Amino acid sequence: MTTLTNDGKKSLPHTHTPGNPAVWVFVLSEMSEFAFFFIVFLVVKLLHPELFSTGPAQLNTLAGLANTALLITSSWFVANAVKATKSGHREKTISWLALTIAAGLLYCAIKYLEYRWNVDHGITTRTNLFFSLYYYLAFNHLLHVLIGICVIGWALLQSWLGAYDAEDHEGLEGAATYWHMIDLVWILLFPLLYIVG
Amino acid sequence: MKYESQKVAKPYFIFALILFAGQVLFGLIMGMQYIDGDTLFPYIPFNVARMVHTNLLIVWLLFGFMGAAYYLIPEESETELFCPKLAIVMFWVFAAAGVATILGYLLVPYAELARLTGNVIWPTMGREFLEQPTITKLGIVVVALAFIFNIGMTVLKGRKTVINLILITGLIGLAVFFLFSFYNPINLALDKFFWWWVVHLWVEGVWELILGAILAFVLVKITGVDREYIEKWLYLIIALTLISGLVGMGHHYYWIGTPKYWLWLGSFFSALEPIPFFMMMLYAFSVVKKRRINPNNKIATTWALGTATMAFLGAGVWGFIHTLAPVNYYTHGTQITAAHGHLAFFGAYAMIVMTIISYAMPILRGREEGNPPEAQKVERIAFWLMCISMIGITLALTAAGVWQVSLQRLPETGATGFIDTQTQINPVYWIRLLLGLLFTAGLAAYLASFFISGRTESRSA
Repeated sequence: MTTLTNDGKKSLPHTHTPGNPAVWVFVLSEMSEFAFFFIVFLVVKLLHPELFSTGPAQLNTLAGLANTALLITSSWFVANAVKATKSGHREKTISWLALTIAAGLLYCAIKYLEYRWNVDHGITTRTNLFFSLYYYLAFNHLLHVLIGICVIGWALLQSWLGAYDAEDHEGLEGAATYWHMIDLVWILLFPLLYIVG
Repeated sequence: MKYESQKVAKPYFIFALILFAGQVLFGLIMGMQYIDGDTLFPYIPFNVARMVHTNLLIVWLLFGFMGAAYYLIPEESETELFCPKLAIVMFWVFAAAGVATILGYLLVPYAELARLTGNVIWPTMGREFLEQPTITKLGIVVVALAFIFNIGMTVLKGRKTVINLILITGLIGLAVFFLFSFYNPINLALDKFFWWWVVHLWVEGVWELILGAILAFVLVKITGVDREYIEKWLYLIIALTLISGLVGMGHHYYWIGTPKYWLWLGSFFSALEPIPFFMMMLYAFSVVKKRRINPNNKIATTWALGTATMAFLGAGVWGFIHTLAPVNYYTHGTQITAAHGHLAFFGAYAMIVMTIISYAMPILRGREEGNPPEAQKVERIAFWLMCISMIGITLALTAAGVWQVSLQRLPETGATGFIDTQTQINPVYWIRLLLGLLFTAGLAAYLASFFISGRTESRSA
């Protein structure tokens, strides 16, 4: 917000970049990577419209929907963790982070069940181009969730060790930023893979 | 400048930049040859241009590392260099051998060069990056031994710090791995196996130690942050580099006839390789944030942060893109490899040499306060021009690579042949060439910045 100083001049708004700038370089390069994959997906979709119109309906939408709900909830958990640290509540931070990890693990479990369901319904990486891309993108995202769980686990450990306080919690903000990125990518992936036929 | 003998770094830095300009010139020639293969034929055929481009890259980086070591080792060890004269003699030996070798590539057909230099007695020529005649390779060994002796004796007689010990470990590793260029077994799989130990165990192993040490030195100097804080990070980064890089280098072994376990070892460990690069970026930004001093040489900080960022993007992100065996099965040796090679070499190694030059060269020229603002302004423009155009080149080559994979590698039947694929990719090569020209403009601005004088110079001259 722009504020006025005593001499009537406008002062610059107070800006705060959460986390270390390096985290943002990382997040932006990850998002560029996924953007690149989305472009590849859309180009292949343009070339093979028939596969991509029938593909999404054959996937387990419920699994996709459940994971979307889980990731959005987990983002709320991690945002609350940062909020708790800012108000100096270490125990609450730890609980919120533990919930984030639990949501991440549940996401992985649902993915496992979904892959088993796929196999039962004859869907594999080599079924057709749509499913190859579905597996490539979704598995790539799953890897990011696993990395994210490790990152949040590290932030939890740091919180437990008392490394963060209300003023200095750059590492936690970085971890939360990364987790939000994973969530954001999934929000784009879900309609692309499961809905838009 | 704290020690008189640090001055020997100056000719190394100057010659490194001259060779850098040569490398970029031959890069442009190849950029044209990708569009029209007959450009400059028969005077500079593609294979010769490529050889000169890659060899100049390695040699100018070696000159840069040597200059960096001669500058920072006396200051870190708090003593004069063991033998400055030896450093100067070796400079001339290395420069003469380098120039003679490049002239040999350009003036004599390669087979004739092999015959003239007696390759038949001890055959080591004809392999990528290792095209130098055996006699040049022996010369490199002599220069490297004299260099390490000189640096090692200086460290031994002076203060031992984490920075100078890590630097010398990296330099010794560099020399040791170069010895594998003399091993040239008849079995092709064995030949390739050990071939990767030279340049690629450098860039994924020991050179990262050199990079880490130089970056740490510059950060200590330009931020005034506690050495202990920087050293803790450095230990962590180096440990992770060696854990991930030495085995991760196995991602080159996938398709050369090695046992299958390399698919797993190479994939797993090389997937970890971005971590130390990410940590390097994390610590560079946090050290600059904690800075206690704000020197006039602002551009050195830009270079330091830029190196950490671009190294992460080039070596970390672009390396990861095609490192997993199932992906690499399709992308191995395509333009995606070229994209990674360009951004990684520039971001990690070319930029760290320019970082130390940006910090040390003004001091070596008697400008203790850094270059005048006018010169720094031009250098800053050069920094952004080179970084942006190199990212552009990388993106163009990535697009070319994806296109190449889709035409040449993915189709199970009816795949397009190599040359036909190259013809189809031609539009992207035009974009790459234009970005190459932009990079050249950046380099020209960078070199021009050394000749801009201003207020600071008159004050400290």
